[in-house]
Order: sequence, then structure tokens, then C-alpha cells
Amino acid sequence: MTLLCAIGVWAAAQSEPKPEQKSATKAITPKGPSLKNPVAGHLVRVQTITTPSEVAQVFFPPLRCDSDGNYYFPTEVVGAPVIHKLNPRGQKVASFRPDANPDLKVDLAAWYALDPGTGELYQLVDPHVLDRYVYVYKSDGTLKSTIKLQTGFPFFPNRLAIFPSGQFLVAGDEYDADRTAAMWPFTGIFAPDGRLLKELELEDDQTLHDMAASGDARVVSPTNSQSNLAIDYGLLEMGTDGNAYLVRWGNPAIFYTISAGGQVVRRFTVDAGESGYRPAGFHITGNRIAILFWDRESADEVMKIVDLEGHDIATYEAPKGAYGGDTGLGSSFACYTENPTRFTFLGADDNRRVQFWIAEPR
Amino acid sequence: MKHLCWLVLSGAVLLTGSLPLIAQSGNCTFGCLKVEEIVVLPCHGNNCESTFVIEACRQGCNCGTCFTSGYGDCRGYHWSTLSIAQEPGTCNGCQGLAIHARTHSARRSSNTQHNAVRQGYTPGLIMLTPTKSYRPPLFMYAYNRCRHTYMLITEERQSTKIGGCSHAYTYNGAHDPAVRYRRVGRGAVRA
Repeated sequence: MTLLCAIGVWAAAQSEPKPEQKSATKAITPKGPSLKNPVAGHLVRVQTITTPSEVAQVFFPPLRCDSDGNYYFPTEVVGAPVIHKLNPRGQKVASFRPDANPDLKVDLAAWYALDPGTGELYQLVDPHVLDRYVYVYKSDGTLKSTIKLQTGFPFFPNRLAIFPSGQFLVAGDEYDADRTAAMWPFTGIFAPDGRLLKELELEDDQTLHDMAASGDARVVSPTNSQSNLAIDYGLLEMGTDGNAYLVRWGNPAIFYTISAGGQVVRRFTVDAGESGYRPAGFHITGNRIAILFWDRESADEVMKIVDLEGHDIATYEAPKGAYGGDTGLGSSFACYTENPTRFTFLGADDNRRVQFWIAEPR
Repeated sequence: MKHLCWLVLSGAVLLTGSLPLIAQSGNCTFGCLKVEEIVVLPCHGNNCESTFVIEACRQGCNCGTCFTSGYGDCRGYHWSTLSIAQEPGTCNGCQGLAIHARTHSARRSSNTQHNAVRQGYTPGLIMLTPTKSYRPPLFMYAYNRCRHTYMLITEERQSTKIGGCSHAYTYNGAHDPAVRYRRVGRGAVRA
């Protein structure tokens, strides 16, 4: 019954009229226990911390916090990328800049990951050459090393996670045989020295590729026919269980739990309930995952909490309507903690100083 | 406000389409373009007043491709700024003219960064081959000046609102023997 319901919900979502949509050759199969869950409460801002001087027009994902309560947020990813690190009081404690290496001009630095053991920050860097790199910084922002990702073929990484063993999980795109056609998902495990140890083919890769190749508006960027938004807007974070959690962007969101050895430990889907919802960010704490879903038409948002196997725990609504009025939280979800359950968003005051908005369920 | 934006934008698109061409492709195999600001629109609410700009890529003297270089959010309307990624080639009728990638027909002031037109190097375009580049879709949280929130911006949404430019960024797939491929079937043959 549960499975039937899940399929029904998913099928209904997919069958809604979408004028630009073309059908893919195979459907994405919801798998796992996640289903729509009754709303358990609402998110209410309970605390605001104003940074002394930070101003930002835009943030790029991922927004993160560490176990010491420091926040990390990139404010630029092209040209002169920079990631800011602020302490819990909002004071800047470090900046991470790939131009610390003057030897390579940087096209894009799309993603970063934290090593919880050392506090080091690992950043994916696309320099203005075909090689792709991971830059490693000490916790104070000092560039420690650069690692060339060695695949032997051109690829376009855009997501990164660091396993406790020091290996990397890298996800992104790679060419089709026709270099002008829709790209293929790439997922690989790399050694700490950058050697490709194993390439993974995930269960939905073929389907997602075929959706992009057929021009399905759910995954194709109108400005770039080779891209696949399910891949390029995907999310990746290390779990407290030592596995990496890779998310394909869409609704339902597809989660893959991947071990350092490259095994897909589990696959599950998380359904936000309404077809228009897409993941805006997610974070893991303990054995809980919090996923913020955002509806691009209504700007409504819901926070879904599931366990590490995808079982529903709770669903919380963010303030609704017209971007939540004065109580809206936005979609810049930066941090999730339990005991007590708290979610931190980034906002700003009248002087555009960045603020940490801490919300709790009510 | 949203409806107003759409109406104005529609007008901008029509205007763009009806303009006489001032430059034609010489040996430029991309597009001869410039970015023009079409109109500045007000954005009111919550004791807040600001503006945003509708831009369009139009015929000009820059050989290149048009892409979205900046984003913003104004009371739920997601606006974009455009830039031109310079490519090799010249445009007929442009000899002797100073090349301005951007003209300001309406903006009162601008603090937008337009960093696309740089000699041989365009941050944000990652290299596909030694001579070709690609702009991956970006996903970001843009400041909403009235609500003081940061809202998710995706290209899925903004691309339909940028005034006839969304088709202008296409990868020119001329064969480049410098790149070898991977698997047969899924990808291509490994070098």
C-alpha cells in the first residue's frame, strides 16, 4: 500500500501539464520509504545574530557550518572566488581564495567540502585549462596544497565530499560520444593524491541523461542544452556515518548513500509533496537529514526531516505567501542542529549586513 | 508588480526584435552582440524602494555569446544581468568603432560587475577544449532588498525572462582533435 501510494504521488507529480516537457525513455522510480508527511509545525525565527561588517548580494552553495559553530559561505565563484568563514558571533575568522595560487587563473570554483577531522577546507577549482583541481586550505584560510584530479579524460566536476579516509567523492558531468550532445553524469572516487580509483554508474544516470537528451524541461537549462540540472544543481554532503550523501535535484529528490569504497549503500527518494518543489539545500546532523524544498512559482518552502535511510521524521512549513512577509526566512539554509532542533538561514538587516537567522519548529 | 514586469519585458522583447541591424557577422561565427539596458523598473514594498533593470542582448559589435552574469530578486521577480563572452572574430560594419559590450540607455547608476569581456579569458566559462569553453548552470541565493532574505535563483526560472537572449548562448561544437573521448555508447573512446 505504501509503495502504491508512493508511485501514485510520484506519477501524479510527473503527469501535470508541462508544455515544454518531453518524455524520457524511462521513469525515475521512487524507492525507499519516504512519503508525504503531515505538517508537524512551522518554522519561527527565534534568534538573530548580526555580523559586524559582512555585506553580500548573493551567496552560492553550499552554505555550511562546522561543529564549532563557524559558518562558511561563498560570495563569488567565478573570476576571484572567495569563501568566507565567520565564527558564531559573525566575526570573520578566515577567507579561502584560490587566487592564493598565482600560477593558475581560475574560471570557476563551484563547490567545497570540509574535513571535520582537521578543519581543512577542500575546494573544487576549474582553472583556465582543461585540468581540474582540488585546493586544500588550512582552517585559517592558508592554501596548503593543490591536487590535480587525474581521470585521463576530460570531465566537469561540480560536487565534492571528503571521506574520513581522505578519499574524495566527486560528481559532475562528462562528454557523450557526441561532444555537443547532452553530457553524462560522472561520479568517481579519487585517492588523496587525485588518482581516479573508481567510477560509479548510479541507478538513475541513464534516465537522467535521457531526460536531458530528449529536452525534458525539468532537467535542461534553457540557456545550455548540454547541461543537466538534476546533476548540476545536485547537492552533496558527508554524513556522520562516514558515507557521502549525493542528491539529484528534482522532486522527488533522489539520495544516494555512497561509501568511501564506492559502494552505493542505499538509494532513497524524498518527496516534498507538491510537484513544483525543488531542493534548495540540505544538511545532515547525527542520524537526521534536513532538506529545504522551495517552490519556484509560489516561493513556498517546507523543511523535511528524514533519517539516514529516508524515513520521514517531520515536515515543517516556512512562513508562506509573498516570500513569507516580514517573517520569511528565505532559502539560504546554512546549518542544521538537533537537541534542540534548529535551522540557521542567512539574511540581512536594513544596512544589508549579513545576519544569522536561527529558526525553530513550533 | 509581477504582471507589470512581464508586460514591460514583453515590450522590450518586441522592441529588440524590431530594431534595425547595426552590425552583421563578418568572420564571426558566434553572434555580433551588445548588452543593452531596456528599462529600469521600480520595486516597492515593506517600506523599501529600489529598482531593477531589464536587459537584452542585441545586435552590436562584440563577437561572442550572451550569457547571464548576475542575478537579483525584487519582490519575487527574479531579474538577471547579461554579459557577452568574447569569442574570436570580427563583425562587419564595426571597424574603427570602439567596442562597448554594454550600453546604458536607462540605468541611473550601476554597481553590477560586468566581468565577461576580457581578452582570451572569461571567468565563469570553464574550458571544454583548448579553444572552447562552457558555462555550467549556476545555482545561487540572491538578496531580496525588500524582504532582506536570500532567495534561490535557478536558470530554470530566469532564462525565460531575459528578453530573447536565452537562445544566444549555444556551444559551437566544431570538431577539435585535441580532445579524445571515453566510452563507446555512454561516452566516447578513452584517449
